[in-house]
Amino acid sequence: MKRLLLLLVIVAFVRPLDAQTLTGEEIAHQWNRCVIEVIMEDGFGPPIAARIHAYANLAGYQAAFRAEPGYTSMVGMLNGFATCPEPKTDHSYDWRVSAVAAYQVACSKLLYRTGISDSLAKVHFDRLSKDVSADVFTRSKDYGIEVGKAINAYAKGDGYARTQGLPDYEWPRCDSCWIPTPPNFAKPLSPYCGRVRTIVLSDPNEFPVPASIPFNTVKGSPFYAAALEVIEISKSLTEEQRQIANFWNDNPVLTNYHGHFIFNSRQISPGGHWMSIAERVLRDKGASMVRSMEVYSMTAFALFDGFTACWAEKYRGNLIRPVTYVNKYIDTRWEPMLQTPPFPEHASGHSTITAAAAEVLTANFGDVAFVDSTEVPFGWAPRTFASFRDAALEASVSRLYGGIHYRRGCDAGNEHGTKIGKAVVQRVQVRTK
Amino acid sequence: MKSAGVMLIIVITASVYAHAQTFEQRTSKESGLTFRNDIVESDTFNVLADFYAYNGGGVGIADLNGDELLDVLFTSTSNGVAAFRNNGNLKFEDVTASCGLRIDDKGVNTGVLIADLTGDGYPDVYLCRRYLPNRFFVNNGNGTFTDRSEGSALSIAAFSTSANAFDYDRDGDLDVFLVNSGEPRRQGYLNPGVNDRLFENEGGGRFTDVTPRAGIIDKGYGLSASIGDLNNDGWPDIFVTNDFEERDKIWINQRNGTFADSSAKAMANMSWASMGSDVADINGDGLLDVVTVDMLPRDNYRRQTQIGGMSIYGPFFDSVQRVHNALHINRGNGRFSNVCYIAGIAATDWSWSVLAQDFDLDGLVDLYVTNGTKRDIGDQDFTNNLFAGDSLARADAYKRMPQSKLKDYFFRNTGGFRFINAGQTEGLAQPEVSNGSAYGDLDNDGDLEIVVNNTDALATLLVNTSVEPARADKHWVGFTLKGSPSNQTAIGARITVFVPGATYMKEVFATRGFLSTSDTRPIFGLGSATRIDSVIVRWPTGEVSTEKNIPINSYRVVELPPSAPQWSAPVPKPTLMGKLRKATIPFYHNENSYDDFKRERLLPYRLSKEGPGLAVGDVNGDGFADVILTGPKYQSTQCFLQYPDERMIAWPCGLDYVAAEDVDAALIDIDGDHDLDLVIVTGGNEFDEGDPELEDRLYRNDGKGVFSQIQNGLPGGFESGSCVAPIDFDGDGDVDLFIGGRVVPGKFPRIARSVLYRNIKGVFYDVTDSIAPGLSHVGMTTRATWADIDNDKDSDLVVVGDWMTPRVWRNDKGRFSDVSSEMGLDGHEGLWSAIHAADIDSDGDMDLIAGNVGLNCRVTPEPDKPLICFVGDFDENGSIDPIVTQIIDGRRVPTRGRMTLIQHMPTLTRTFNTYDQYARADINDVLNPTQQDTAQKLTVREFASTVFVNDKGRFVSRPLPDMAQISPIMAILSRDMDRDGDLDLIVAGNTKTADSDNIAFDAGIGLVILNDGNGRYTTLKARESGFNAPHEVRRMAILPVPGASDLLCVSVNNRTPRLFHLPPAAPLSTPGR
Repeated sequence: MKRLLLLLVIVAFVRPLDAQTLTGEEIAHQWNRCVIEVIMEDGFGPPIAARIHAYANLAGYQAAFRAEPGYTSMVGMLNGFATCPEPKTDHSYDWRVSAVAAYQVACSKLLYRTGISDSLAKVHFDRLSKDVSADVFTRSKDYGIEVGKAINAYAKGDGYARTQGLPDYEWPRCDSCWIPTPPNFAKPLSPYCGRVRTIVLSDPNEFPVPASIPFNTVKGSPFYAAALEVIEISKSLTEEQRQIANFWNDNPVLTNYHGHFIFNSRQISPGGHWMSIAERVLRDKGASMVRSMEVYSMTAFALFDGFTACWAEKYRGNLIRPVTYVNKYIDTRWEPMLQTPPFPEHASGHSTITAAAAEVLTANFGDVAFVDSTEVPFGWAPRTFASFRDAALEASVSRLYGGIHYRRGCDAGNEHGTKIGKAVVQRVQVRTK
Repeated sequence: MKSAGVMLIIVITASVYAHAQTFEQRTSKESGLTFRNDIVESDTFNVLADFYAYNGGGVGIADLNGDELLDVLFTSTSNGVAAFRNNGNLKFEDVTASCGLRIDDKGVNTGVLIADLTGDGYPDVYLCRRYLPNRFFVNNGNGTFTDRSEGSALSIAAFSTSANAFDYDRDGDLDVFLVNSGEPRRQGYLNPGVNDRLFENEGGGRFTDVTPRAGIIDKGYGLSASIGDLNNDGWPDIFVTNDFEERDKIWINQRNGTFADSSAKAMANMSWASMGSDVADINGDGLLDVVTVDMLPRDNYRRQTQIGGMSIYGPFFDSVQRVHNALHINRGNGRFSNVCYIAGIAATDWSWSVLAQDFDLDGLVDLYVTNGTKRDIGDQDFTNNLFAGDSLARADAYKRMPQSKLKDYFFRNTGGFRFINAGQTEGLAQPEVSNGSAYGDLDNDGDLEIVVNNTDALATLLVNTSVEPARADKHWVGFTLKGSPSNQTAIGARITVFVPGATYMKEVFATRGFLSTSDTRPIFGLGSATRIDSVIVRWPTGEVSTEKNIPINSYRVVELPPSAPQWSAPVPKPTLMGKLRKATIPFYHNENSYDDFKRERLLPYRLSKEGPGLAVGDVNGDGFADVILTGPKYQSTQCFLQYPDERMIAWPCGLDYVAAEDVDAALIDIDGDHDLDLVIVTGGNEFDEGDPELEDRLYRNDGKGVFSQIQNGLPGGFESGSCVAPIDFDGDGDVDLFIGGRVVPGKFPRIARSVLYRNIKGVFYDVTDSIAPGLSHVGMTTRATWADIDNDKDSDLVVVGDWMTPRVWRNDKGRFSDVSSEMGLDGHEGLWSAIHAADIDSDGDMDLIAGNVGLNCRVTPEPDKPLICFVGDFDENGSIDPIVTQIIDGRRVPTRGRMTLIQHMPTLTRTFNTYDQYARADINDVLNPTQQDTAQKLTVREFASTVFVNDKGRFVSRPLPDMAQISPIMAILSRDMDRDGDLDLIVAGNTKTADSDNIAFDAGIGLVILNDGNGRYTTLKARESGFNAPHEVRRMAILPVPGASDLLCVSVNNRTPRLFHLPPAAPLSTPGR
């Protein structure tokens, strides 16, 4: 609870009170941040978290893109996104107000702890109502609500709710098959995520995922060697490699065991990490409101489609995690440095979505150096990167350092994700010039 | 029923008020027991660094200095041992400094054993320690001690919890059993605990570790051991509680220096995080029972906020363990039945010690439970909402964790194994974190005081005021036993007191409860008896002596006579049912593994384990009755032919269909060709609506015992069924059928269709809607039977099922109507699982005996506090959401935990952000008024298995005795077992289908219930009846054997069927199934 209050204070008061007016870009950044934080509170798994980022930022963009010239609606650009309410042509609007309303309405259906998003909306509305005449305010807000509802209707059609009503996933049993992993042997996470509609990709299987190494238990076989590499790296980690593994761990719910005392600790999800990087760069560049919303939306689409495509592959291949393989065939007592997340190995989800997001950011800003301090609240020092792609490669190999992926899984994810990111850049073009 | 209920209330109320307060709390200032166990946390010693850091200290009560007054020791977590000399009149003096029990380090201390380990007549002290080697202090003969740890085998570092003294090899001196836990562990499963140890006394207190030779292998995290002769063979056995996923152990003394663990067979279910324990004859049947404590909170708020995130998954998780206390009643045949819920003692929150003694001297064994924890590590909101990088990563994070001081529980035994929570009336008002506890008659007045070691608070002294001049009704007798020279306190002796109308039994052991040693003098409350007929002592080395003329209300010294006969186990009396010599049925019902909860997360119980069905009849026309047992999915229904000498041989009868889950069968002659044809009902929950595997099947017998299927022979049976009941209901000379519908698979609670078939010239026609409108959807049926309920010479239909009342459909010249209401069956909604019709009161009309889920349940409805299941797709995601609710403190709340509910309906997270919010919520917070109004609502009002006595056309309900309520009854037969002219009952059941928040309903081992003809029922012990039907019994049938007594055939889910010899049939006819 204490943390929530802290969050609200930071987000809602400190920055706005410094400024004379609440700028549109500040609204975009604060809603992006609000979504990241509530996702942590709610404990969503990474694929679902990316879905929330995508639809929340789409709502903001659709409600506000008219604020700046040269931007178009995303209607028709995204799978199944056929319609979105139009504003009245002969009336004036304050698009910041519309954006806040759209964000709030979308969040009310996407998030669980909506008290936080409602509070943020209230703070924003209170401040904006001082800048804007009452009738414009009301009209703008009503329009934003309409857009928010349209985005909710669009989101509802993606099949996610249905996947929640499905029976528990029965994972196949075979030698090469994934089984729940220590220490908490959790049920597989989001097994039906690959059935949810993608936003940009024609379908989750549009780009083939590079194959995993053929499973083999024979000593000296390539698969055995790949597992051996995981152990060897884990036993000779440098301090730098440890830091890298921790920095990109991004496991939203870590379970810790102390006898009967079992507690979960929360941290940012992989998607949230990249949404934070996007914020860092947008703030550094002084990007405008609509530009910010555009980049947030595209980044989130890349994340969401990346997860969906990767998850389809994970549950198609159902590949055994290193910890299971190693404990069974090589070393019964080996433990990976990071806690293995509860889903099949191939390919690395973090590698996939990271590469996809890095492509979007590179297309928008080029190869820029940046400092990533996303992990400071979770105890890990900032890291500096020469480019987004550099960061993506480090995030990818971090899974090998952490002992939760084979090198092939990381590389395949990076390759797959790069294609997904390029597709998003190519297909979501909202700037007319 | 009503008057019986009122009577019961009066009796219970009267017994509550008949007891004045048993205990008075005495302040430390008055008593001088100024000990406090202050647990000083540091960044290296706290619950995060060692999860056993707050287990607290123990209490030792014994006469250390030979002045015949009991002295008191306390162990402190990090401050050694404190000793208090009893100066009389309940005044104590701290003699720690002078007594020689000196610990110079700050190491963690755990249990204390006080017993004469050197065999010199003076009690010694064995101190257990968590990290450092245990310490052995020898009594100098005057209450001062010399440290003799050096070089002693007892001085080992083994993460020890506590130790017990006993003479396991009956060589006359005291050996030691040491319980060990293990190092702090993080990954749960990767590091096992330290093996428990057995030390043999080589004489004079020199010990040898004989653990491997004794066969004791237990790498659980042991937290206590209690000793007693559990199998009545004259040798002491050991019960060990293990924390976490390792089972509790029952080490049965093999009488040759070795022990064998019988827990897997003996205990169907047990506590998960078992802590303290005690062994005593709790229900007064001459058999030692076992009680263990765990950490299930008693009130709904703490239950909802503390439990639910507790991880019970993992590689070692086996479903026999659940979070609840256990009261394992010894059934006398090697098996125990956990009756914790019907006993009322299942939940005492985070509990440490349990002491089983007759504290109020009414002749019944009561329970005292300590509880509380210094840091509340179960708080789900705290543990689920921590952030990495937040302060838990810091070493001092423990400081933010909440504390749980709780009130202890005093459970007064009200007879049998029923208890009432008398804590509130016992002045136990002060909530503390209380750990070890011990009892002893500190003022030698005949009743037992209790001393409790509290964390961060002064120790508690509860003075027992049962023996006071003003209370002339409290009679007692106490004994000081004088045993052999090397075991002078006679540890291991069994003493049995015979008074008019009652027999009491106790055994002498020192270590009881948790970390503690209690008074070894046996004290017996005598209830209303004013005279003792005799006392029998069975000495630790096997001699038996008898004492007569023992006065009451005093201590009596009993000495081991110089020469006494050796005890020998009594020759067992012949049982009613004979053990089988030859007959077994070579059939193993191999239930397919299907987890209903994966499809229907809020399902209250599984619906996929309902077989095997059982049918008896002469299949091949050789004059011997044969047996059909139905197969689960992947296994065909099979036929077994009876041959002479009770041999049962598998017979390839033409049944090879394996795709369906066959749940019931009947052998009937459908076509009048004088052979038995076969009806098979299919069921199960692992299919989808409309699947061809759900079709009921009909087979024609070729006269030689080979069946061939008649296609579409049962044209109405395409849904998941439960049972078949054949009868000639239209009186035309051929056999008609009723087939019960169970549930639409995956769609609980949608009712599957029940069907009434008329046989016309060997062809069955579905006539349900034309002659019995409404019967098709009578409910989620389980069983049905035909009986002439209204004495009009035709057969009426009785149907029972889940979430419904038993239903009687009256037959009026071939048309049926539901007459349940007018027969008085309204308001009896239950989870009925068995029905049997018989004239139980011999008055010429048919009564009904109905099996229900029983009263040994975590959640039990009452007639005015029904369970209601709200059903709808409340979150609109295509799956049915059945939400079962109960009334607690006047509010209707969901029975399931937040975790389960939001796993099935994730959007409820929006309503219940925290466990706290959920724990405060009621149904109105879960479902809005419209949802509640439009929901389908199912009701259950009673769980008791019941006899419905037909009283001139109206049924009067009488619950079966408690022992028949400890688990669900799935099969019932009646027969005059004792040949006294009236019908007795044979019942059996169990089902391990309940959801994971509930208990496994498998406490039953089958029961013979004798009927005295006047409406009184007595249950026979297993050793009297010979009936032993554990596991999940589904059906029973009588199998006639030409020229010999009948066999009782019991079908068991996922097991081999069992057969028993029945006593010769009495002249009275048996209606059968």
